[in-house]
Amino acid sequence: MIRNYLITALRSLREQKLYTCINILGLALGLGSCLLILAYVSYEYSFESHYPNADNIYRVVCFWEGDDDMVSTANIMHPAGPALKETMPEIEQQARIYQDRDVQIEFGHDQFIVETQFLMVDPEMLEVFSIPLINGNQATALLRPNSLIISQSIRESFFPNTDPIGQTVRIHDDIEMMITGVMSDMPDNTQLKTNFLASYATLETMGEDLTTWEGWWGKAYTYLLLPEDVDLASIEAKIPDLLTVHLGDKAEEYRLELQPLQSIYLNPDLSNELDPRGSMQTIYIFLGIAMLLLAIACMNYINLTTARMAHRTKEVGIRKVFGAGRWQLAHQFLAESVIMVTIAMAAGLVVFELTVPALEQYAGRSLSIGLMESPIVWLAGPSLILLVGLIAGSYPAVILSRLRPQEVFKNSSFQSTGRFNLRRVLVAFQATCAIILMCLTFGINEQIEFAGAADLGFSHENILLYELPDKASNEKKVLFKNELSRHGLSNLTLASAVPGENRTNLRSLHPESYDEGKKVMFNYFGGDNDYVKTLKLELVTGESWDSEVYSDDARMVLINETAVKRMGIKEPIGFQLMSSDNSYTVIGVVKDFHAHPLNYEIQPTVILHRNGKGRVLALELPDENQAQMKTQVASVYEEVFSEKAPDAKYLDNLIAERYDEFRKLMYLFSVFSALGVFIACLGLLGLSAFAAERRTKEIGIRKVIGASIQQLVMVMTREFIILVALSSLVAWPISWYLLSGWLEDFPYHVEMNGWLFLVPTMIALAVASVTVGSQALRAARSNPVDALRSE
Amino acid sequence: MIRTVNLQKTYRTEDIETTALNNIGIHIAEGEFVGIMGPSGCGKSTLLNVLGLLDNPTGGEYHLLGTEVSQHTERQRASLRKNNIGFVFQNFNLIDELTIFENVELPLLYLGIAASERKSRVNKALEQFAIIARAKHFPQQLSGGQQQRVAVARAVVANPKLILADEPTGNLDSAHGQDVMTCLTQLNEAGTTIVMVTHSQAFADYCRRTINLFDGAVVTEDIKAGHA
Repeated sequence: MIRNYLITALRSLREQKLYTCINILGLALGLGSCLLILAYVSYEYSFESHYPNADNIYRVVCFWEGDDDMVSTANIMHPAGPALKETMPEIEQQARIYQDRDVQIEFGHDQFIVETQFLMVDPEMLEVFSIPLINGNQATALLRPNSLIISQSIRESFFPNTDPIGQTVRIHDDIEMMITGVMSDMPDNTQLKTNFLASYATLETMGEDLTTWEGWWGKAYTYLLLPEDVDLASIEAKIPDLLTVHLGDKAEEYRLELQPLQSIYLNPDLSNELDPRGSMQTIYIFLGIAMLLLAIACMNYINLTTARMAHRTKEVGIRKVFGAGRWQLAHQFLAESVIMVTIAMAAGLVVFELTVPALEQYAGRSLSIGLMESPIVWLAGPSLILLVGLIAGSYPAVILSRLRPQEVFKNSSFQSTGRFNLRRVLVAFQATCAIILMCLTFGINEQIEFAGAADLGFSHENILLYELPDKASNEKKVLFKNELSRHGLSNLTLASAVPGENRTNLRSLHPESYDEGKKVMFNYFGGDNDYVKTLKLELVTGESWDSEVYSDDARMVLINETAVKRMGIKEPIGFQLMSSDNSYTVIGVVKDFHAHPLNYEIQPTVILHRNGKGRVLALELPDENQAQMKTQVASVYEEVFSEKAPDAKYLDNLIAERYDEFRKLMYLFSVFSALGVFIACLGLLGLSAFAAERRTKEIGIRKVIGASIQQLVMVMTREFIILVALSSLVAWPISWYLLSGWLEDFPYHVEMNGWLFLVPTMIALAVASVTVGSQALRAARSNPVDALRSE
Repeated sequence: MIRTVNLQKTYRTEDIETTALNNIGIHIAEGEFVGIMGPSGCGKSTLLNVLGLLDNPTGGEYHLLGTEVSQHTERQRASLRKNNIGFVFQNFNLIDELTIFENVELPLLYLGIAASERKSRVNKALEQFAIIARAKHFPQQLSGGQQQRVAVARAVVANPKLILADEPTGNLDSAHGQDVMTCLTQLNEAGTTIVMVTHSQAFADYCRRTINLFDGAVVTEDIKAGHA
């Protein structure tokens, strides 16, 4: 019996090639992208799950709360981890991890590699995260300062035929590290992925004080291994006492919390989070899109199948006459549907494999989500086949199996009647989905353009940034600047940071009129006399440091308008700001500028006077001969600092990078809305072809009576056009709601306008007209006699 | 075999009620070959559909093989149908996607008969109607007469007690029509009861008895000489 079903199904598919191709293509695209998204989402959820103790590892995070401000960091002070372990016996183990970024590791002559994430870790890390060593002694490998464990692939690249244990490499130019172990390569789905684990004690030889509780908290990523049945609250409750011992009165301002290891990656809400970072928002968006695409594809399937039912009614009638029961027929059509979906799934897997690289490019990193690496595909694939096959097949199955043979034989064409039939509803739903996707794409694009064109309040065009060597003396830095001036560059400044760089420097200061202990969190920048001039910051009142009086006074500062507002001061000039060891006097107020992307509120900002110091030199290039000027700057750099000049960065590029996340989001939406529109179009194409076929006789009669081709096309196109237009009315408010929700995250955002909604509708109308019109035209051009004779 | 009492069939659309069958009372004995005649729209096909359990009457009684079936459910009717009745249609009604062999095999599939027995019975039926050579062809590749022979083979393959034929010769030229009538006559002679709707007096002459319908009612019955 199954064989008979199969034969009928396959032969009937072969018979109607256009229908089959459209249906399988649409479904394959829908299923393929749906699977891809599922694989991606499950990969995102898999972060850190491969550690055997994953369920029992927690990270200690810190919340600092002043009167007006709050800072939360993913890492804490050096001594906190060991202190916790010592005072609370229920903590089985603790391990601290210190991250050093972009470290150059030298293996003898000319051989070096730059590790983006170089980790210095407690010896207990190997135990907590169950990292076995291939070579070396697990117990002692990380005990001594300057010990280093390398990964298997580093060993293969740099020590192909020798035993690396006992060999030395150099980091930071002059720190000798001895290799004490080799570990297997880490998988991609962990934030701790690195090729190097150095001993934590190495930090001491680099001058880091590992015992102090004072200063900036963001130092050590501290992980605790807790027993299975741990009572988190009871551990957290004991922390304040510990802090009081070490911090005294200040302890009240700090709160330490425990965060489960596996929740970290997808909720990177704290400062100093490790990379890569996931995003729940992206996952939700992805899942939403997957469901929309799958829905569009399923609706195509249902629509095309019901449209094709006219061709199958005779078969149904015959089968019923010769003994088929209703259930047998329903089974047959469900089986057919599952077969069709299976074929589409096979094609979808091809789509899947082909699009993985594109997704990796989107994510900007390698994702282990190939077909072979994603068990979810093999779980979800068959389930999707059954689910989609049964859901999409059940409507045709019910309708067809309900047919009565005598009706079928009486009028061989099957037509659903009534204004409100399922097919129309599904077409309208598809159009609605497609229009929503397009509206969102346009909206996101509009905001990105708005952000790109916005006046940020400082000059960034043609501004070039040169990082200065850490160890260079202030004299050399000033010499570098003066040399460049002599080469004719007039707009340049030595600075600790400039707006638009993605750096956050925070410092709390006490306003003079505030009570003792009250403080405000400031973003701070530091620059020399030329800072304001070079970056074209606009002074609202007061002055910059150019005048002789202030030129060397480090206590004279500038603040922004938001700082004035936040502190509620009427006369900012001469206002005092206190830190624990200094007092600063405000000599000018600059207009608010967007140091950070537009999705962040402008914060109170202070610009400190740092004449002759700085980590970066910012200069404005003249409009012409930029390449030549850059070469000159590089040669001066090499002359002054006796080392190779680093690649200069255009501030404009840095600013553009900040919107990468949103550009990616837009890219995502444009790809998927194009896909959605395409699938929906396939459906319309199939439906209109069937409509034209079904109406052959009507067209013939109309033609005989005297209808023109245009009139015929109009008659056949009208229904679809009206459906698309009506869909817009549904799609607009939904898009408006989603878009305004997204824009809410931007304190500074574009105003939504009618075009955002009208253009997608016009596109949908145009696409629908062309698709349906082409079929209608073909039908309208046919000879009426042929049409009537076939009846 | 068939007995109807005051059989009624009315169709109701929004505001028009049409009476298709009006108080039909007929009796057909086992082994008969009965023709149903009448002008277009007189209810011939409706009667055949009701007799074939494809449609329910709206009133009256219908006894098939000694059982009152007018109130049977769809499931019961389907079961009676596949075990006892074979159909032949004017437009053959073969499934285009299935080969000749597979078309004839269809009723046996729904009866749940094993593959080996299906094969032998289908082959026997195809041989009987001289279309065995065409077993692997598709319906579109055959002439009308050949297609109707396939349809007859399909109707008899399950050995039904009753064959209902709705203008089996209507779409055929006279030579092929004769051909099909010969097949049906052979079947009747072998003991199968046949009820056939036809327009053609020439083909009606093959029947032993003819029931004439007009506006949904039986007007006359002609019994062929020698068959009474």
